[in-house]
Amino acid sequence: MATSNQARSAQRAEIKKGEVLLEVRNLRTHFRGDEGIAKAVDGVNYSVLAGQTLGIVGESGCGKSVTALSILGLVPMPPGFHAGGEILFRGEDLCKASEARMRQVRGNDISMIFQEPMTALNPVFTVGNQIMETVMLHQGFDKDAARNHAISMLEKVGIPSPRQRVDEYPHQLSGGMRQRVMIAMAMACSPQLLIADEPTTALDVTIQAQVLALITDLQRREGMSVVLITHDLGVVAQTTDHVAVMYAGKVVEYGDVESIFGKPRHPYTIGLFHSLPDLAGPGERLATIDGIVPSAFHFPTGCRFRTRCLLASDKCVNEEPALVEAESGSGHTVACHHLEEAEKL
Amino acid sequence: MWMVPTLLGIILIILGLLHAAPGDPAMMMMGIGSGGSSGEVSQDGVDYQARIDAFKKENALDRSFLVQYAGVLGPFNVKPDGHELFGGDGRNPYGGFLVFDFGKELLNKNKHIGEEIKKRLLSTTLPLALISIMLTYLLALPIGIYSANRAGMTIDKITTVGLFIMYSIPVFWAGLMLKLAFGKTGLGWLPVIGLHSRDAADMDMLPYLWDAFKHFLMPVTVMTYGSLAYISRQMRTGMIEVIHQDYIRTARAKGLSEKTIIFKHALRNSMIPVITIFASILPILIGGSLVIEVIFDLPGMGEYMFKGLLKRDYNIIMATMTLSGVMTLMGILLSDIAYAIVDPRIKYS
Repeated sequence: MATSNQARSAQRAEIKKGEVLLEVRNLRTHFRGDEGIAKAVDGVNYSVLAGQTLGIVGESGCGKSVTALSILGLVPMPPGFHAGGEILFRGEDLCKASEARMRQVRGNDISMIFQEPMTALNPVFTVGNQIMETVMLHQGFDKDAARNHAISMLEKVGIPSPRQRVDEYPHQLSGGMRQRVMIAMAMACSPQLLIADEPTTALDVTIQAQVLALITDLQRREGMSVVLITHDLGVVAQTTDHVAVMYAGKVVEYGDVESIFGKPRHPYTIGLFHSLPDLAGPGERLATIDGIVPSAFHFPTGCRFRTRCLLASDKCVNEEPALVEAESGSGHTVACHHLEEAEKL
Repeated sequence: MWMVPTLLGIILIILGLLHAAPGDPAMMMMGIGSGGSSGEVSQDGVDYQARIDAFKKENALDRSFLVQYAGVLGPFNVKPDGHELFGGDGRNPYGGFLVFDFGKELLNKNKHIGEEIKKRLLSTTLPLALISIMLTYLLALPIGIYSANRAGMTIDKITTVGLFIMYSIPVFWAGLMLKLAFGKTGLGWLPVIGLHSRDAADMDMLPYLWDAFKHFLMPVTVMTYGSLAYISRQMRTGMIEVIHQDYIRTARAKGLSEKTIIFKHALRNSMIPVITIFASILPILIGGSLVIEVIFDLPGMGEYMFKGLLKRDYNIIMATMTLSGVMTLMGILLSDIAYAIVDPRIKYS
């Protein structure tokens, strides 16, 4: 165990804090359906720095989860297929990696936790068994070592009396506990990247805060990177370093959390912030963004947000805006033709 | 414990059905078929009615329904030759079903039904049923898993059509067709009657086994194909449902191989519906092999039941039907136990 930890820390030393760990370049993941091709993810760009957290925000169906599943190669194919782009993890393109190589990456270098803790654990195996499985596979632990490791992982994620819990089945645990088990499972091999796909959406508000605190705490201690997928802007503000705002299969705005929250540029991002309830003021009707997310089978031409945008012009219909820096050197990129007008919104 | 009242109810219903059905054993014994000639005194001077009355009295068939029910159940013997304790003369003390005494055949007082059933179960029905169940599950599970993992592909479509055809062929037709094809009338490869050749007792080990194999082949095939088709379809459906569950995605995200995912994470979950079916298959194979045993002339329990039905021998019918009921209950009990083993969410209590 000591040797494998040393080996791992040596390996980890290659990537220093702040360097790029994962870079998604123009990723396109499409699905064949009865109506044609659904472009669920259609040109996504973002990067995750070592030791930092990237928040991905967007409405349901904007392609957040499919991007995450693409990183791990978990998109069911068919009907899904890789239509282009690269996913560079420590310089290696995961889109080109073999299935065997992907199995080494999954759960070991990159692991994932899902939205629904009630169904994400196998009901017929003990939680201990499900945690042990990962370390026995990737770290070559024997049964006893794996069991001890599972117990210490359960302890790490704050499950009381882990020695007893390790032999319990998922149905004996509450939702929050199960999500903790999921986290323990994902963290068991000390991955470099944790993808959390709406990890708190299905939980009570009080439990949400605990689980988020746990993820950030573990991140700080282990020095791993996190991709946090959510539609909760409050969560993003609290826990992330960078933010990517997604709309209709594309990233429309990307930057560090201060600049996005301080000065959102894209009309969609601005709309999202407007629709947040104002706790200080008197009760008003919540502002909304008119219209609905277009179907992935029939995205509008040009800018995809134009059908719901107040600033839409002919240029937006004909020309697709590229993701460019709003101010040079800031790293804050936006895809919009009308940046000046957007500031007045 | 729920099994005891259920069983009492089953026996009550069987007896009720017997009494409701036309024909009765006394007339059968007299050789009087169905109605018409049952006059009091026939032309050759034999007093049929007197004989019938005597037979009915001797076997307590003249007593009321509930008294007969009690007589079937326990040693409260209601027949004139029953226990002295209950007013009989003690010539034929009968224990009743509660003490596993099935009594004697109504029309052949030398034959103990219990012994006959035991002989038939051990020699014919149980071996056939066990082989058939094992074959069914050994073949059905892999077929189901295989086609589930290739759902929608050509090979899956072919299997699906094949299994549906198998499932729809009636047993009696398949049995007769096989006999015609492989028996003397056709290719002449396989014997069509019984489980052993007449000279089987004199054979050496290997020829004996070969002989038995040839005799078993067709009955086992006929017994197996239907449940094989049904269970592999169930297995396929269960498997397809399971591999779309979230926890399978979790297992993939852990980096497990496809083999581990299917055989560890998916198999146990998709076994649950298949286990439930076991409860209905066991009694069908053991008690309900009637058609097959009759077609292939096998001395098993189903054939015994059939004989009893033809002769209206209430004692045989009661015993074999009750045993079938017991088998059903056992099947349910077994599948409940298996259920609890496979699925930790179900508790014994």
